[in-house]
Amino acid sequence: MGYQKTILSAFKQQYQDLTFKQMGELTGIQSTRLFRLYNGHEMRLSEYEILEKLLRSSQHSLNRWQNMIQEILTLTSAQEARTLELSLERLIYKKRLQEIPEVTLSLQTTA
Amino acid sequence: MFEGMTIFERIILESLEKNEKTLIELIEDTALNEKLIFQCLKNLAAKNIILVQERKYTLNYQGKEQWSQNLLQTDHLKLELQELLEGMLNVALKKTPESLLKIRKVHMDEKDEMILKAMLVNVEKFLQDLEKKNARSKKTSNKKIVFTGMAAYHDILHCV
Repeated sequence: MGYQKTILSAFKQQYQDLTFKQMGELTGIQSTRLFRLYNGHEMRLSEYEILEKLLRSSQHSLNRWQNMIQEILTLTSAQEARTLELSLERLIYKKRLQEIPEVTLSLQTTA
Repeated sequence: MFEGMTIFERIILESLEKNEKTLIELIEDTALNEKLIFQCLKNLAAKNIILVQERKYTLNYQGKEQWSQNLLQTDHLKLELQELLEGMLNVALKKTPESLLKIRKVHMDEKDEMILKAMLVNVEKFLQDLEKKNARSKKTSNKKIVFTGMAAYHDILHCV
C-alpha cells in the first residue's frame, strides 16, 4: 500500500486542478473507482501502469517546457520575452475564466 | 492582476456600451454562458471598469479615463488582435459555411496596387456605413468580424 499511496499522491500533485470526472477521462479509470482508490481500496496492476505512464509523460513534458523556456530566454530580446510573458499570462487568465467550477477535487489518501 | 482584456470581456463591454443590462440580458446578447459571464463581470468590477446598480451592470464612464489607459497599451491590444485572428483562423479551419478567410501572395505593379487600395477604401466606407446604422436592437454576438489589409512580404519578414 506504500507505493500506492506514493503514486496517488504524486498524481494528485501533478493534476491537482482536475475533478474525479476529469481524472477518469484522462486515465480511462472510472471516476467512482478513482474515488475508492483515494479512499484506500487496493489498486490493480493495470491501474498502477496507467498512472505511472501518465506521470512519466507529464514529467517528460515538464522537462521539455523548462528547457524551452531557458532556451527562449537566451535567444530573445527583453521586449520579445515580455510579449511572450504577457501572452502566457493572457492564456492562463483566459483558461481560468473558462474553467467550469465543478465540484473540486478534494483527495484524501488514507494513512 | 491581468491588465489586458480577453475576447469574453471585450464583448461584455461592447454590449454594455449599448445600454445597461442585467445578467440574463447579457447572456442573451453575448451568447456566453452564465458562469463565464459572471466570472468576467466579477473581474471587470474589480478593475473598476463596470458598476452594478440594482442588478443592472453598466460601464463606469466616470472612471473611464483611468481604466481605458490599461486597455490601450500596445502590447495588450496586439495580443487581443492576435486572439481574434487566431479565433478567425480556427473558425475558418472548421470550414463552416459562414467562415471566410483568404490570404494571397501576389506581385502587383503600381497601378494594380492603386486599384486594390481604392477597392479597400470602398470596403472600409461600406463597413463604416454599416457601423453607423442603428443596430442597438441586434445581438452583439451576431456581429461579423472583418479584417482587411495588405503588407509587403519583406516588411513582414523583418517583423516576425
